[in-house]
Amino acid sequence: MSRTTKVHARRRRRQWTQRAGFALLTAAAIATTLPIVLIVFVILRRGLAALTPEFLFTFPTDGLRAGGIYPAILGTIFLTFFMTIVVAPLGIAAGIYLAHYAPDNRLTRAIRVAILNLAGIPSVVYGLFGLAFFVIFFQMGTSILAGALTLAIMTLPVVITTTEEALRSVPNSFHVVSVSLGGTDWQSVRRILLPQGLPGILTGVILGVERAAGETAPILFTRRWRFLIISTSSRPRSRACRPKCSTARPPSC
Amino acid sequence: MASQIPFPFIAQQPLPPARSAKIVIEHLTLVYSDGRESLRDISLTVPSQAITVLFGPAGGGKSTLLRALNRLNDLTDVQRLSGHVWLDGVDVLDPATDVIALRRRVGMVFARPVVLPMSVRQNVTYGLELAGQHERRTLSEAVHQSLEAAALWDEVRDRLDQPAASLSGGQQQRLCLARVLALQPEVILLDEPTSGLDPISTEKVEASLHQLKDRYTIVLVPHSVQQAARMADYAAFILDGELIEYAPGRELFVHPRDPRSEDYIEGRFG
Repeated sequence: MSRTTKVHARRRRRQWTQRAGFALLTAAAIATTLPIVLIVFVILRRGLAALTPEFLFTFPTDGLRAGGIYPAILGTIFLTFFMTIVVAPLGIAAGIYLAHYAPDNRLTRAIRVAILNLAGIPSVVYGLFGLAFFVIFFQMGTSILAGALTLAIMTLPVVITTTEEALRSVPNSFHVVSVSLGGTDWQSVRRILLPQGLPGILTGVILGVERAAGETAPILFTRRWRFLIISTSSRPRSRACRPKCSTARPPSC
Repeated sequence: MASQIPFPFIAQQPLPPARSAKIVIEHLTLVYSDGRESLRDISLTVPSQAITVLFGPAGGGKSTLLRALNRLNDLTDVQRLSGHVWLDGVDVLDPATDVIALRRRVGMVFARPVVLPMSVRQNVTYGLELAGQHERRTLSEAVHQSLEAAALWDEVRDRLDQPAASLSGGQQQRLCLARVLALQPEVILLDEPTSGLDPISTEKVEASLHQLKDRYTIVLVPHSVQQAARMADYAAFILDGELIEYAPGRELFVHPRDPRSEDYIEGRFG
């Protein structure tokens, strides 16, 4: 009799622990999602009214303090587009090389270290590099091209490493089977590795592009934000700028 | 080339006229990069249209030997490779040999059934498509015939477009066999093809191998001595990278000449 009550007590305690744990996990999940929901809600609530076609499709006036954000939106679209065109093929190709073809030697190890370091560099440094390399050395001037290339270099490590990881997660036995059926290395890559790794690769590209699209610092030096502020009223058409330029006043201006 | 190396058992049992030497292995020695010596001076003649069984304790180099026959060893770090493997008089190990063409002639089934992440049909046609075959009629013909030959057609005829991973383990392994058959190879290498299968699936695989041996040269690494004894037309006992004894299956399993093979067959070690 006493034994059965003991068993009951233990079972009840276990059930309680189970429920408490479950509640904790649920609370954690809510705690992380709540801020996002609130942010979106507040922004929509307060901002939706301001989001008129005029705001979206007119040029800024009064030194970016009034008017619309048309050039900024256009600039972001163009920059992101050109950057993606540059970074996606380059990064995916490099990832394929590192995951599938590269032998394990000093050179490839150096490449890997370089990529990891590239990922850790602050974005302002990329901006200065872009200024020195693209704007001045290659005489591109401050332009969409220089900005997109700078952003592409900044995004490259993210795309390369995620592509490599995605391809490495595909079991090697698939490759062995493909080879044993008379396949070449490239056929393994194209028919098995890439289709299997595609979700991971896309995640990498999207994450990279997303990061770059929201970045201000590299753009400061490579795009003509300064020109924009000075001369918006006179030459607005060619001077697209990013939204953050108006609020974050960089030390260099 | 074949005439240089007589079958070690040729005095007791001459080969039936239909059978000729398909693969001749001459003094094959293979050392892996980590210093492990895997094969030591192996000479062996594999007859066509028969099942040749390579058996022995684990880690003895059976898989390595098998992989040398279609150059899958290229994928691993091999430090030293000497000797010859002649397939119809062509040296397989010669770097100038077209490995792609070789692997289409010498197919391989692995221990774990690795189906490719695509449909049943695509798994069978994969090798053909790699070879540049895209004609739909030919492909579907190949699917039917190879699945039939692997004793799988009746079970999957209605689910050819489902993912291959949805098949059972035994079906997957037979699919792997069908995939190899679709290329119409001359030699089929099987590395413990039934090690992960239940007895019924094992029986099905063995039955289809018995069917296939009339048309193909089969080299099998069995997963047990019992299977070796069941399947072997010819049997080679391999121990620590050395070929200990090679004889017709019935002979080797009933009257082994070397005490080490006898001990292994009787289950005294291994």
